[in-house]
Amino acid sequence: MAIKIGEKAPDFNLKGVDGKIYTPESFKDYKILVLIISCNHCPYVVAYEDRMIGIQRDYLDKGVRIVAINPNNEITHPEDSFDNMVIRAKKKGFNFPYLRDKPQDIPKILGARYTPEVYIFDQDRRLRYHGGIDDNYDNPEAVRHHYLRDALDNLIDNLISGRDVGRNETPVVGCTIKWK
Amino acid sequence: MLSMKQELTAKERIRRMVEKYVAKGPYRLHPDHDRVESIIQGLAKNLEGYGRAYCPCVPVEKCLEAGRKYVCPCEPHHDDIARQGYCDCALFVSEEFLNNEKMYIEALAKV
Repeated sequence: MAIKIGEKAPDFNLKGVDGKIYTPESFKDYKILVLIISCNHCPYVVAYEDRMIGIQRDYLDKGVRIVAINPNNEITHPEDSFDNMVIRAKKKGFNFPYLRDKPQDIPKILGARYTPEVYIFDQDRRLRYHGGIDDNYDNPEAVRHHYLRDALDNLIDNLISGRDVGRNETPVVGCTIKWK
Repeated sequence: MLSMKQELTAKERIRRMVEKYVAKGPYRLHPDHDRVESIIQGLAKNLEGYGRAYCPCVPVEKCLEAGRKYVCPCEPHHDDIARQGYCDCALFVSEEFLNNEKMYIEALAKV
């Protein structure tokens, strides 16, 4: 099962690295909610962390809230445990909530397969974009297509007009989710 | 950052290794071309940087500690493919996974 463009965001109730419990209601003041299925150990995620921080910084005053969710199996990948998430978030200075989804419900509802995998929801919390962050994990200077930024720009521009986000599915490159 | 010449050489070596391995069977390449290219790029980068084609989906520190274990095709890939249909990087996949994935990609293309 995978959520389709136009469908509603999943409900969730997840603990963040700050110890607080987050639900969709926690983000009601934001026009746009970006869920990124993420983790600690994946080299692709590590390569994208600074870009995630940069995107959150650049779009916060435009009503965009990034939320990273780590669903990985900590038995096979202990680097992805909650305690290690806390350490990672502090070390990198994450400026977005980083939530633990131990039961792996959210990626199952979303149909996510990789980390990092991005889902953008509009003001009505309907899916408007699904895909990657950009087209070059290895070298930020060589990125040709800034998928996430472009989708956010289009969505912000079109919130008033009600038009579509433009390209709403892009390739996802990353590690596979570590299922139980 | 690798020079273009180094990158092409390493990439070509990796590509040849991957094609040879798939031709031998029983596994197939993941049908998502972008994904395969990205993994080949990651393997090439590790080959150039560390002298071995370490799995790009595994932290390189862990690869270095584990010796041969995470050199592509890595030691766990048989078990991973048997369990989930794909190796952990999703470069090599089972025939069954390939058929399901093709249907998924075709369905996505229609969205």
